[in-house]
Formats: sequence, C-alpha cells, structure tokens
Amino acid sequence: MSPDPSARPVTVALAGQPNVGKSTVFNRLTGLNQHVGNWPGKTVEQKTGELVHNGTAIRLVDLPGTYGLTANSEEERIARDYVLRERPDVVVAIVNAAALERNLYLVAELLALPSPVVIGLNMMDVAASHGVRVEPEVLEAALKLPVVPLVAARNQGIDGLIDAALRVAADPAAFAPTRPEMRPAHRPILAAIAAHLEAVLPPPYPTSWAALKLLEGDTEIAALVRERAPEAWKEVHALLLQHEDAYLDIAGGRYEWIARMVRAAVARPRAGAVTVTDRIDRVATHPLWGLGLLLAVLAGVFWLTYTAAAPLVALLGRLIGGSLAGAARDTLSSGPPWFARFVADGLIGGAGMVLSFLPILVFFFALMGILEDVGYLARMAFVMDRFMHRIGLHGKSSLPLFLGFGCNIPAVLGTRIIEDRRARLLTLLLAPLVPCTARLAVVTFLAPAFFGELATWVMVGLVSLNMVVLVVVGVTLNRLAFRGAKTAFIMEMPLYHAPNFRTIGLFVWNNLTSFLKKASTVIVLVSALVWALAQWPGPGMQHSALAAVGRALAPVGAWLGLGDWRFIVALLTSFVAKENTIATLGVLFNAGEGGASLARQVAAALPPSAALAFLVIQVLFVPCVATVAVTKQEAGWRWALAGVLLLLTVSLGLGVVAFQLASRL
Amino acid sequence: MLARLLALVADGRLHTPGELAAELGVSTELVEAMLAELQRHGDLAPAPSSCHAGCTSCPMNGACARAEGSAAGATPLRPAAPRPPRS
Repeated sequence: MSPDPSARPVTVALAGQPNVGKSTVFNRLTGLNQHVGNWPGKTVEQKTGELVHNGTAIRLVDLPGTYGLTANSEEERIARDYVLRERPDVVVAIVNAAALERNLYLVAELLALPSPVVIGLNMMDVAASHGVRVEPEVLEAALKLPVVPLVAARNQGIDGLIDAALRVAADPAAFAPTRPEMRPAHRPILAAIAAHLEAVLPPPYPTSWAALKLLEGDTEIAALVRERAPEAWKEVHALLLQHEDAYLDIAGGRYEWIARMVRAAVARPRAGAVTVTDRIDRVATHPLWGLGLLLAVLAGVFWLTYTAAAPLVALLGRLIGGSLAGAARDTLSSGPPWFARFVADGLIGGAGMVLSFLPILVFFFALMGILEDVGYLARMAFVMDRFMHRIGLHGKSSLPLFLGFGCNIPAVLGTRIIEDRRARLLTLLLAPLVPCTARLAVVTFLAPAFFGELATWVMVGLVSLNMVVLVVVGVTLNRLAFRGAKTAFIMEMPLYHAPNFRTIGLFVWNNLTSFLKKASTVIVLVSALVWALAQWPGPGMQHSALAAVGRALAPVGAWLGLGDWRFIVALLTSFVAKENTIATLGVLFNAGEGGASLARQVAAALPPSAALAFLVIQVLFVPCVATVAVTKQEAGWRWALAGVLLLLTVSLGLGVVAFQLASRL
Repeated sequence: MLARLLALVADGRLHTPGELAAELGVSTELVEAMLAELQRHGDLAPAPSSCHAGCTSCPMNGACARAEGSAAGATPLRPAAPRPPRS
C-alpha cells in the first residue's frame, strides 16, 4: 500500500541500552533505506531511515545506546535532547528480556519525557534459554503501555512492534503508563524547584522533568539554569544543597518500580547449577557452619598434603642428601677437596635439600588449585570476612590476609583495596602472621622429623596458633590504635563447578617453576654463603664465623631450649627466604655429620619441647626480606620496621612459652 | 531502595549481590543493576588492582584474578571518594 503523499511521516525513535539488538531492529525495518551521518555538532554516529508500513510512512531514528538519560555521557545527552527537542511521535524502547532489571531503568527515564513509549521485548529466545520466563501481556498490564515480544535476529515480532507504535502515535492522549514515583519526603522539594523554573526555563525542557534532573545532579541542566536565570538558580541551588540525597530517592524509586514490574512479569526457574550452588552455600557461607567447614577444609588440605607427600619427601631427601651428594663427592674426588665438599655439602646439602619440598608443593598447590577452580576459595574469603568482622577487625582485611596463605607479598600488595589508612596499616602488620606456602613447607618437612605420627596434629595446631595470634594481635592493635572507618566491599561468588584438571595442572606447573627459580637463585646463593661462613676461618665448623654468631645468640636460644647454635643460624637465614631454614640445616648438619638423613639428624639434635618451640618460632618469625621490602614500598620504613619488631617479639615470646610449657608436660 | 542498598553495603563487611538481594527481598539481577547504577553515579568504584605482576607463585592468584574480574567478569566495588559539593 502506498503512503498518502500529503501526510506527515510518523517519527519513531528507537531507544535502548547497548547490545540489546536495537541496530538489528533498525536494519530489519529500514533495509537499504537508511542514512548514516553524525549527530549535529557531535562525533556520535546518527542513523535514520524510512519505511512504509501498511500505507503509513515512517521516519525511524536510531538513538545512541544509553543506560540512562542523565547528562553523564555524550550519548545520553544526544538521546534525551532528541526526544525533548524533536518530540518524536513515539519512542520504541528495545529491551533485553533476559536482563529486564537493567534495561527497564532507561524505560523509567523515557517515561519522564513527553513522547509516548512502546516496549520491544527483544531476545525472548535468549531469556528462554537462560530459564527466564517473561510474560509480555502481564508486563504490558503492569506498565500500562504496549509490550511486544521480539526475536529481532529472526525477524519475529517486528511487524507487531510497528503496529503497536503506530497505534500509540495515533492517540497519544490515551497514553497513561505506570510511572516510577518519588518518596513523599522529596515531592514538595521537586514542586518547589519546578516552581522556580516555571517562568525561566527555555523550551523544550518541561519544568517538572528539569526539576527532577536537577535533583539527580544533572550538570547540563544546572549549567543551563545558572546561565539563563542566575536569580532563580540561587534559590534552586540552596534547595539542592539541602537535598543532596534526593538522587538516591529518585533512582531508588525507579528501581522499586522495576522490582514491581519484574516481580509481576518475570519468573526465573532455578537452573540446576544455581540450585546446587545455593544448597552448598547454605553450609559453606553460614556464619558458624561455614567457619567449621573452612577449618575442616584447611585441616584436610594439610593432612592430605602431609599424608601423600611425606613418603616422597623422605625418599627425595635420601636420594638428594645420600645418593646425589655421594655421587658428587665421587665425581669431584679428583679435584680440590674443598670444591667437592662445597658442591656435596653446600649446594646439594642446602639448596638440593630444599628440592625435597617438591612433593609438598605439588600436593598443596593441586589441592588449593582444586578449591579455587571449583569455586570454594571465594567462599573461604567470605566466611573469613564474617568471622573477622565479628571480632572487630576490618572486614576488608580478610581478602588480602587470605592471599597470605600463598605468599605474604601479594597479601601486603592486596591491602591496596583498603582505602582507610589505619585499617590498611593494621592489615599490613598482620599479613606476615598468615603462614605462607614456604613456611608451611618447612613445617611440613620438620614436623614429621620431630614428632612422627603426631605431625599432622602438630601442623594443624601450629596453623591454628597462627590464626589465634593473628586475631589476638589484630583485636589488640585495632582497639589500641587502628580503629578506622567502615567501608563496603562487594564481590561476586562464582557458581560451583567441576574442576578443570588442565587448569589445575597449569596452576601447579606455574607455581613449581616459580619455586624452582627461587631454589636455583636465592637459595643456592644463601646455601653457598652459609657453607662458606660455616668453614671460615676454621679449623672446622665449631670455629667458624657462623658458629660465633650462633653462640653470640646462645642466651636467646637458651630460653627456647635451642642449645644447638645451628638452629639459631637456620632461623636467621630464613629472613632471606623461608626455605633457607632447611637449606641451612642441610648445609650445617651434612657438613657436621654426613651420612644420616637430615630429618633424623635434626630430630636427634633437639628434645621435643625445644623442637616445638623451634616450629612455633618458624611459623611466626619475621617475614622474609621480600615481604619487608614490599611493606616498606607500601607504607614506608617505619611500618616495615614496626612489623619486623612485632613479629620478632611475638615469635620469640611464644617460642619461650611453648618451650616452658612443653618442658613441664 | 537504593539508599537501603547503600546503607547495607556501608557496614564494612564483604558482601555478595545474592546476599544483598536476600536482604532487600529482590532478585540478584536487580541488585546487580542497582550496583551498576551506583557505580555509574560514582557512589561505588571498582576496587584497585591487588594482584602484582610478580605474584605468579601465589597459590591464590586465581582467586585474586577472579576478584578483579578477569576470570568471572565480576568487578569488586568499594565506596568512591566523596564528591565535592554541587557548585
């Protein structure tokens, strides 16, 4: 049917948020009859087109994709100015049926403008595939405006959409939709501002709409009023300053309106994955059961790591300390004797012994990788946050502290998410109290040597001690000096899903290569240095520089039951990297005794009470030099030093307590 | 509703959209939409990056990356710095 050449074409504006299929609708309707240019004076693309529908000529204008209509962006200004200035006969709002909660906000804003609105409910197929059931007729009844279901990609419903748009354009007076409402508290203010604007606002801005936008903090309307009516602006500005919270009320009113519409017209049958996630989360994120589960999971990780790795660690220890060191001695026997000793006792006995950690790290990283990949790690952080909040610590401290289980460095860096300085400093000080992988690996190596069958319980006890100390120190410092402002933090919880073993394998591999890099550089250097200082000036290790240092610290060692200076030196070298405890013990014991496995030698060198004190100090001792350097970078020398002194005091103090108590048992 | 949401998240605790939705009696999708609106308005801001380039050895770096949005498309939010008063 040909259009009446004398009739004015009906102007239809297409509005919508980005990625809702608006362009698809525009292209389906206009085909090749479209013009592409720029909006006047702007760099934003403008698309217009013509079509004839059942004998009616239509001019279609594609508005830029926007989330709202406040002057936050060029696109939002263009879209709303077009509707205000050009007054299209009807605005067709294309919304994504699968994300109505986000999309209806723009509709709420469009309803405040003078043109009538029709909704094109696009992506009905996507919504259905997501299990979202949207009832267009119910939404239409709730909104009191036409709602047309579409699948624009398959050209379904588009004719019906244009039919509805033309019906509304033909009788705009009948358009009476359900609009969002402001809370009663702010309605008189809106009326007062509108009254001030009545005689001064230039066309085409409706006064009630401009008043609403001013209360929302719209900078463009504010500049317009200030420029055109300075006297009225003074009054309006005074009112705005008194009601800076009005934005929350206005936007909140829109979301209440959206919630009502969605509640009426949308049903979300729960997908299987969501139901499983919800069911697990009822326990995993419960304030009490969640904490119990977290402790059980951590205990399980340590138990599994120890049970699976311990035999392999012992085997590797024998191979490296015995066979490999022996082979090195034999191979190098023709060279200088000191060089053979250096390689066998210094490098292999030290850095090589650290390589026996590998099974521990493989199992630990694999278990942590599985926990991360199935989605449980985020729940651990959530439960820890709840717990910390209950004991008065800053809730946002939990995430960085949680990172400390891997390595204290990201824990320190992670405190950047805390904007309150006092809370951040407190978290910086507490971060090294979380036992990192390196410390846990050292303890996993030594605990079976010292305590045999009881090793798992000793390890769980040591980690629990770490947590108790962290809480006590945190609460004390928080009460004394670091009480800070409360701030929010919102994070997504991933759905639980089956682990991807390739991802976990890569995760383990990346962590192992990083460990091997450290073992082949820092730990090799420290092992070489320790070996050299254990020989020099001599004769023998008992007359070495290292022995002199160890003996100088003997009074401190005596409080802890550490009569053997080699343990004191091992602790000192752990400042460079925590693994050096084992590397140093490897060098010093192999150099002194030779033959027997390191585990048996260290166990024979200390009574159980002193061994417990040594492990307590090991898990609480001053952070490694890299962590101190990062702390200095984040907070300065003063706080880095304060952290070192704090941990030195706590570790030595609790080491003494552990020794004294264990000696009396 | 928006004011209630802001009040809920301002208690200094870690929150999830699902838990906030349960508190407000609305869908998680609506809470996510409101959080996006608060972010657009400047009341909430994406949390700064906490992962460090040199942290590949950290066993939690997966969780860290997830919290930063690279893995799950989620952006942790925190309150934005206070805005200057209207001029």
